[in-house]
Amino acid sequence: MGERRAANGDGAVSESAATSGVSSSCAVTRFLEGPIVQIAARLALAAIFFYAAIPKIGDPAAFARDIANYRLVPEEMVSPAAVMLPWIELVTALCLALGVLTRGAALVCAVLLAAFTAATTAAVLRGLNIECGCFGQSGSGNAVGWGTVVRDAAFLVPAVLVVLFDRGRYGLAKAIKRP
Amino acid sequence: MKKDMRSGFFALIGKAAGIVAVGAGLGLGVNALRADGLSLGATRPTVGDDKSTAGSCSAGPTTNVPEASIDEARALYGKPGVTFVDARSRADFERGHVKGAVLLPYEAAAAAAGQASLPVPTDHRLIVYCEYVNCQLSSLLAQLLSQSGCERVRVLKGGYPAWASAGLPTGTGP
Repeated sequence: MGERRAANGDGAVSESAATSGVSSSCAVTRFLEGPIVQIAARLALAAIFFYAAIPKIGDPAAFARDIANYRLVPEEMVSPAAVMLPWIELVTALCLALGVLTRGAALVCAVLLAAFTAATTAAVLRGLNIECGCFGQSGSGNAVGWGTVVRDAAFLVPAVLVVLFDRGRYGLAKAIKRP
Repeated sequence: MKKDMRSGFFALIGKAAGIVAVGAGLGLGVNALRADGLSLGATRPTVGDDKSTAGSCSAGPTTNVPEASIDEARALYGKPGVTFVDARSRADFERGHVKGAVLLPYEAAAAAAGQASLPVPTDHRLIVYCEYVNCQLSSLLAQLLSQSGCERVRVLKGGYPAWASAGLPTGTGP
């Protein structure tokens, strides 16, 4: 019980403050596990990854050039990455949109976004004047900059929310399991 | 409790790995079926790999392609016997290019290698450029031209942005 108590200004322990702290933390958790946050985060991630995957699938050669321009991936791995990555993004987007293997898909998103954030950060720090390649569209002039880094890092937020707080309540998998 | 957490963690990793495996498999499968699928070996021809002779350049020894700085390119621009070669796509070329440059997209040049003449004067000094500072198209095309026996080929350091930002002559359209 001791650890749940909070000391007030004159040294006395306030049980109600502790209780209110715990209940507000529970309320935050309930909110983060709730349908608004979970469905919005899932669908936002699904839309981002779907939007990112389609142009790259359409033009893998351009995406390979974008990857090569980062000069982070060994040359022999550039084409396999350009071929596989967009499809991984697409499968991930479908899982998130449907609510199937949701946390696994969100974990894939989080790992990919962390890698993209690291790659774009490295490109900016090395002063590379290259296209992002984040959403395909090679030749669009969408150059890598700190804005790209911040955007990729921001996309991590919904991914982490789904990994940590999804309870599988709002997806197709749950609907199928219901009698 | 700890055991449950550990098994939950491994289940999560397993699901993520399954998604990655399905996506990677689909990507490889579709690539194998596509007419324009990528070769999964090296992404670019390396000097000495391609024994074909491109265009009308006579076959000759292949060398590493040197770079030309923007100052060197500026000094060479407009001189007789110097041609700038744009390795980008037609769309990029039409948006802006070195004035008087010849459009020769790398993909088209690679496809034509050994089968058709390339539209570059082979006895000229060729300055090849592309879109970005580290864009590889220019070095790929320069290597292709070198492999085909064009001896005086250089890559413009900094590509088209360096040329345009230096206020040197540019053109738009076809």
